[in-house]
Amino acid sequence: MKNSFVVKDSIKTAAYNLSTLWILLAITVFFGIFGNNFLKGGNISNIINQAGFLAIIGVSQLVVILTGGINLSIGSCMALSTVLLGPLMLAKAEMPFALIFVMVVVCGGLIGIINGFMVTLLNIPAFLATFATMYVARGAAWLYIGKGVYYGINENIRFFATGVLFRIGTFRVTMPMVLAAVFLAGMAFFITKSNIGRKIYFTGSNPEAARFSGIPTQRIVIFAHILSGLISGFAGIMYVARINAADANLGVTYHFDAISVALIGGAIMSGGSGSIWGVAAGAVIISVIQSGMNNMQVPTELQTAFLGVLIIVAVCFNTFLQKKKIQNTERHITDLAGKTVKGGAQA
Amino acid sequence: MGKSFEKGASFKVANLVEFKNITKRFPGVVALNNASATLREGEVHVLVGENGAGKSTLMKILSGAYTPDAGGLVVGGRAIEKNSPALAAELGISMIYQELNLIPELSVMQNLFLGHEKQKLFFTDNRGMYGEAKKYLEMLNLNIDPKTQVKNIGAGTQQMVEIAKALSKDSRILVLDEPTSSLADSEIKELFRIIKLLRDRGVGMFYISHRLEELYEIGDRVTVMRDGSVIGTYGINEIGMDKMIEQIAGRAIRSLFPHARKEARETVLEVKNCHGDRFRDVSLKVRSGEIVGLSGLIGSGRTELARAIFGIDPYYCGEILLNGKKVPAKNPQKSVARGIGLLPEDRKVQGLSLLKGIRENMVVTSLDRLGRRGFTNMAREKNLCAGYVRSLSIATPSIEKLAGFLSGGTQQKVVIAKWLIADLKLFIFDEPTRGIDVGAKSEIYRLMDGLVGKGAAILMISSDLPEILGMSDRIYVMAEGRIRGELDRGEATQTKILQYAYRQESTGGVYE
Repeated sequence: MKNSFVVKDSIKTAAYNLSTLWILLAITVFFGIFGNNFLKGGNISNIINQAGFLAIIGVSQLVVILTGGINLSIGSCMALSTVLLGPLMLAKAEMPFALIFVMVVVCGGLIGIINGFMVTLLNIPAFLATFATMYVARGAAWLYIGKGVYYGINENIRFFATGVLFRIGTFRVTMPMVLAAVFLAGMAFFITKSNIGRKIYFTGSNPEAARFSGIPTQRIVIFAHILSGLISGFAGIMYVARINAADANLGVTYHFDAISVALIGGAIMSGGSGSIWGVAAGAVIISVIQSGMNNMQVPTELQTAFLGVLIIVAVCFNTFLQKKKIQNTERHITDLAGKTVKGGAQA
Repeated sequence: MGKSFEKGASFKVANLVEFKNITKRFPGVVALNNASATLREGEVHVLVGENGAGKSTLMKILSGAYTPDAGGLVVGGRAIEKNSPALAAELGISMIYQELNLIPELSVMQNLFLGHEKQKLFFTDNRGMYGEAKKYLEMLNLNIDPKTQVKNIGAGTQQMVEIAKALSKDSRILVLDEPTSSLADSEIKELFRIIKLLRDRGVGMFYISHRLEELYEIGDRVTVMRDGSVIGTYGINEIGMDKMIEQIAGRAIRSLFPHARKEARETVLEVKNCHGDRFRDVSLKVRSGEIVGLSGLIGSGRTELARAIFGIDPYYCGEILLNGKKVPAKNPQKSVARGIGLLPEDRKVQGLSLLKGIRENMVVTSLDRLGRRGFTNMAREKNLCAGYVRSLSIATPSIEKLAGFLSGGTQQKVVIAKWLIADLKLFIFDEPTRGIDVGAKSEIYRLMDGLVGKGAAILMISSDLPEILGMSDRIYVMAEGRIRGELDRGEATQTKILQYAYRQESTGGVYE
């Protein structure tokens, strides 16, 4: 009897853990039925392509949210790091791809260091610190580039953001899909299995207990901001390569998109909770909805409003699930408390 | 002292408050057991007892925060069926806590009228409030402008403003919970002057304090509490301080503790003339194989000292040495690496992340050591945690259960396990058994005994005197940030500890 109880319980827990996927499934079915050729291979590959990009900025946001912070400077960071190195990215500069990639990403990381120092050493709340960086970095990008854009990006770079590897029917397997998948898998492994990743989670879940356990919480927070900056740099390259131009106005609202992705993917703003796969699912959900609403010719204004509603629903739903999950655990414990007396006697 | 009332007088004085055989149970503890007490008009009734004796619980029943399980409460001759904070306020009961409840950013006046601002039509009547505030402050002979921001006045004056606030609500019954603990001597004098003033106006006051000497200056009657029971109520002049200490301390239960003295070996921790935020000129030693008790009242600087040793807080001069080598200041990470661990006072906030599982909480101190090249070695981790769950008999179906859903004793065992895994030389236990039932308590004692048996050193902070006496090989007693005395296991008694803790020189009488 106890066994069946435990099994039923773990099935329930698993079902809760996969909650984001259920939402995704429901939305896809909805657009599949009411949309026009929504589930065609070509459209699906567009959706995934876009989702890959959203997932990357979502992860950039997630690593900071996990510490209990927030990063509002993602879009500005993408713009500044790519604009600064814009001249080198142009086809005529003929720079090797790897070198440019490293330089842009490092540039993003430097912006992350500034955020990290402000949050820890100066004790400025992450919201304010990154809010300020958002303006400073954007302003710097404008100052640097003036009015123009760097147009005509190196083909080697462009390949990573637009290249098609092969086709299955009308479904295109593209380079960015593969890159995003590898990135997500790598990050998922890193954040759950590395010591530093686990320290990020623990610090976010209870900074006080983390400090009392000998975790260098300040360094962990700085690290998370640097990581977020590095990923923003990476996202910047992907974006610039796709639109074939480095532009100071790039991604003005991307920090918000990144928050949406993370929240819909189950991250909790107070920190310590959220996963890479959740973010990936959140990114696909947003991508499906955007594509589906375009497909059904819903006006953009309405789409934006709908996204807002979706975030509220997702947050409520996550809270509900969290509570359910905890209740489940609690019931289990209470149930067990009755049995420990007997269990203890056997031991 | 009081002019209008003669203490212990035979004529009838109206009882403002009567507690009649109050019993209050919490899960696992009887906080109040058949406790009775009265408060007369115009008297200062002092409550004394160890931490956890039931004083605060009794006062919370008066303020409506708790409902008694049995017994009755009579306020002003009226039997109170169902007390609540709102009803208590209506009855003219005001509580003044040790921690001040004023809002620093607001003015004295705004604080006085917070929640019941005067209105003229739709506007707040600032002039009216100013005048009234001035009146109450003058009543207390307080020479401050009601428009002063609270953050700009001292702790003592803030305490007075709290009292003025109680006056503005026309309170007849005041509860002062350790009002002097954060005050300087001159401020205490001022407070006492006001308390006497109120007494002469017929206000009844319950006064909780750990500073026994001041009770004689301010109290009319004293009630001693121990383990939730009222031991006795006396006129202040009927009971001497020695007798009072004896009553507070009560029984000795050394036999419940399994600790047998081990051979103390080399010095593990040495603190030399350390100064910190709440402690001064502290020197102590803890040797391997030894449990050293750190006793003293709450607020005597014990916890602050522990935090400084572990590196949470800074210390300003002197040095802290572990095995003869200086411990880096304000760096818990290095302290853990060197072999110091702190079981914090508040396990739910500082000890555990309640939303993480048992395993995650247990290994958090030792991630770098347990992992392989910076990455988790999950098999090793799970084995290790399962091993500790078994050896500490932690009641849980799985090592992944959320820490928030374990009982207090089980949670404490998880915190202990996380430091056992960290492989320490020095364990600092801050109130290791607070809020834990007796069964789990004795298991924790056995664990501590086992640890020193294996050569670890333990510094144990505790407010529980029997625990300090039963477990410690040596005892340091702190008072007001300083170490006031050092006692060996053989010579230590509750009375001696309390005498040091209350800064009272021994008057010759030895009890027990």
